[in-house]
Amino acid sequence: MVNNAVCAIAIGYGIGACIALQRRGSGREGAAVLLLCVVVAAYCAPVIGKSMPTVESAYKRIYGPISSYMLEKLGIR
Amino acid sequence: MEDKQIPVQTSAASNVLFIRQLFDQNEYLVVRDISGTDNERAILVYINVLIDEKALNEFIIRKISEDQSRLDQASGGTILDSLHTVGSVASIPLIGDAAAFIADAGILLFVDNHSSAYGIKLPGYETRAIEEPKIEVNVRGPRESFIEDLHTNLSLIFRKLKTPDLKTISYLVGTESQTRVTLLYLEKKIDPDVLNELKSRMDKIRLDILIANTQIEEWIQDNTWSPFPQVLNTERPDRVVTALNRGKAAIISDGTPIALIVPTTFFEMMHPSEDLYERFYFANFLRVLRLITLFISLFGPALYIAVTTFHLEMIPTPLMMAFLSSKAGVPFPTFVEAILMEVSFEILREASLRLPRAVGQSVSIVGALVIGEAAVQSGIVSRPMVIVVATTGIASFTIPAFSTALSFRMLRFPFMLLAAYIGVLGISLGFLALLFHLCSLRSCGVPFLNPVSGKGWRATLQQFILPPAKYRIRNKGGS
Amino acid sequence: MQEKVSPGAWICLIFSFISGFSTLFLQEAKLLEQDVWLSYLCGIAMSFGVLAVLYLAQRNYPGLSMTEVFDRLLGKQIAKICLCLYLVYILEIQGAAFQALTLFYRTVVLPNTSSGQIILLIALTTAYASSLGLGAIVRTVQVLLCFFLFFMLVIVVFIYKNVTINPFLPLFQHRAPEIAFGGLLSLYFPFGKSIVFCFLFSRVTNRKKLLPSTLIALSLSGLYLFAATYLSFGSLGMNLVQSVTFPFFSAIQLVRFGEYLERIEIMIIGIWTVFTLFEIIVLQFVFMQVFEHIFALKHVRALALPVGLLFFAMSHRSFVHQADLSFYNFRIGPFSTLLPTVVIPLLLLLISLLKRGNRSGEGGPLLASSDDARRPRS
Repeated sequence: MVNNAVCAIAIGYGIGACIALQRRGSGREGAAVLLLCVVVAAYCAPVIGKSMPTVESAYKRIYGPISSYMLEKLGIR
Repeated sequence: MEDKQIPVQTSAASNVLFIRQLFDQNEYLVVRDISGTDNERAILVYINVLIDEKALNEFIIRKISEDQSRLDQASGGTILDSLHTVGSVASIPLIGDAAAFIADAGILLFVDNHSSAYGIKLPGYETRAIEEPKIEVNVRGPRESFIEDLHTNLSLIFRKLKTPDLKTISYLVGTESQTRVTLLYLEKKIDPDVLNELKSRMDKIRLDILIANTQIEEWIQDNTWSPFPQVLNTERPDRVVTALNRGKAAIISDGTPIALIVPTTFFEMMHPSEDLYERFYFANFLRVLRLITLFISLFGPALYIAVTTFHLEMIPTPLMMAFLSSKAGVPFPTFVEAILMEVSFEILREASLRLPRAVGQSVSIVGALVIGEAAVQSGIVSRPMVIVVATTGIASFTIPAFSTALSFRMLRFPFMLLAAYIGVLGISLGFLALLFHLCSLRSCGVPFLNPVSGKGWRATLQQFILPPAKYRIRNKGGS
Repeated sequence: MQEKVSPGAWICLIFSFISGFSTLFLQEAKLLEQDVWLSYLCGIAMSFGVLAVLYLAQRNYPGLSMTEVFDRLLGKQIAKICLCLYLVYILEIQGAAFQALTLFYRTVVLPNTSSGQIILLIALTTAYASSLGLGAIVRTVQVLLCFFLFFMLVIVVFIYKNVTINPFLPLFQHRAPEIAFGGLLSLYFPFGKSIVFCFLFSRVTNRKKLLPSTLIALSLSGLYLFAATYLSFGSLGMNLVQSVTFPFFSAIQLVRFGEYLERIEIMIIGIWTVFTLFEIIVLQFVFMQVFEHIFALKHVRALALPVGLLFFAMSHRSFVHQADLSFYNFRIGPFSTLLPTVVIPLLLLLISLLKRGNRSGEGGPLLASSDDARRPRS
């Protein structure tokens, strides 16, 4: 419910702010805001949100083996 | 706009005709030919409800007649000479300015063969006597307050600051009202950047009529959308004088018994002038008390809602049993009770402002009885809630600045909502947002809530703890 | 015009940034027990070392902000990649912070409230706060620090009454690898987070006092953390500290005022929450500044809400289970933090020394040109 609401807010705000900023001559800022809002909407979207990668999941994959190896070498449980 | 640029003609009659056209349908415009000769006419024009006609007849007309009899000469020039002996005469070369002069309680003299009109201000309207302040009441300290007349207000300040360093800048605000507004400051104490910024903001004011200082306040404040005032308003001349000594500027307008002080800070809004007139122990005790009452007025109901709804374990067991037994039978949740009581209290408070004095006290008592006792007896609210609301209401009256108190009164409701939604976390988040907002505000470019003063550690300390008078900082910060 | 921060305010800001969350889990204390003070010292030393390294790297470009120094030293494209790594680092830290706070509240105070609602409310509040600028953030910190220190002092005095033994004796009961890993834990959380302050170096008024102020702030944070650990161990005992999730708050729960007033940790939690949010607010602010530089934007304020919602979205999808957070904090975080907090700063220092050596060899100026000093900073 919260995620759906945030998804809707992000889309609405992104489009509105982008248009408003474009009119003010700040096209770059508008594009940046829209980009961020699209990312937010993707993460909060009902189905695809759960499968989006997060920093946690990415780092677990990257650093997990390193961590296991180091902790084993250090003898820390 | 075009009328303002038309010069005064050398024919008094044509000038008067022009003035009559401008003041068409105004039956209070009086035109008096006082020349007594057709060679060089002199005509007085004024609005009789604005000027002191008795003084006009007794002093000015009589002097003119006496001079004419003595010199055995009746000419416009003689009349003009007589006028110069009676008071300060302004020379007005433009018809538009002449009309404005008449509208501002002036009498105007048009003389043949003269390309200027001559005017003397002779206000004769009634003004209020200087009374005791009604909002900022003191136990010790001066008991004068401003009135609606600008000259009287300025005299109250000039009497207390007998220094040539006190400077004034006059403005005429309101295209229709042409209200006189004066900006005062002490030249050696004010920050030049602040003064320049304030002057530029005053120049940008665009109004049709200026009735109250609030309109100026809304034009010169930094953040229009903030619920908090960024300009201090006061009815006390001594407070204005103290502020001027601290490097602030004051704005006084004709028709408003309130002065604006800019820039201001949160601490100045919380510390009334009475602190300076009491012994420092008591003054500091009251400062701490005010902080506590501010906290109670803002968070009292919200904390009660949070504790009774989410965090019952915080309450000692005997007290918790008492709360629960008093709440038994009350059909509404704590939040609804609180809203009902707070709204009723606000209604009562607003109504008491507008009630005639004769019945005000009776209605207050009835209202308190109805709200308090009857609501409890009928099981609509619980007793602890009545205590909380009453304490909160009384606490809010200790905040010295009325506008600031209003803001905190209003903010109590969102805090109650947050507390009902997520308890202490909601109050914390609301408090943080409020604090950030206060810290982001500026008053004429000066931070509104800055715990560390840029003027040194003594000024910083003095924001919180008032030292005895002989240890206070002088010149920019002391009193 | 950008507001500047005095060295005193700088100390307050770093102290509140680090100290807010530092006493929450006491993870290194659970690992090292009575030798935890060694890990704190290591963490402080390494954090200060890293910040000093970055300060030295920036010293050759006095008129520029850190993001611009990145551009100068690494070239625009590589600098953007490195800065993106810092953005990812900030997302990592804030995700953990949000979920830690939410976990805490759902465990202690609000068990029936969904984590999404809590995170969203916090994100909206911090988004608003970060949009107001560094001046407002610093002033708010200075106001709140007085309240926080006062209440903490009261609590510390009352908890101290429950402490019967010195929990840090006997010393040196753990192996060097464990202490080293504890130091790494301290670097990851809480001291290494202060690396984000390198992006605010250009906002300090007195540059000469920047490093001493930073050291003071880190030391004070370490002292506060040390006191919290001491009191937790002393009042709860080693075994109980190992088993509870929030040791310091469990110690606060033992405090009673008089005969009737207990469980006052709820009020302390309210004040503590306000304090912890400064970490998230500063992270958001720095995120916006770095984002602005990467995309060459002019107006940052419009980004406040989207960045806040991004923080919400990322946090809500991360660390879904409580065990995930503990696992990450213990096993992944200490290693993932090395790249942004150690490797990149050392790389910058190395390149700046090399460039300085080249310029000295060529006889050119060591300092930035006057044109550089006049360029607008981000």
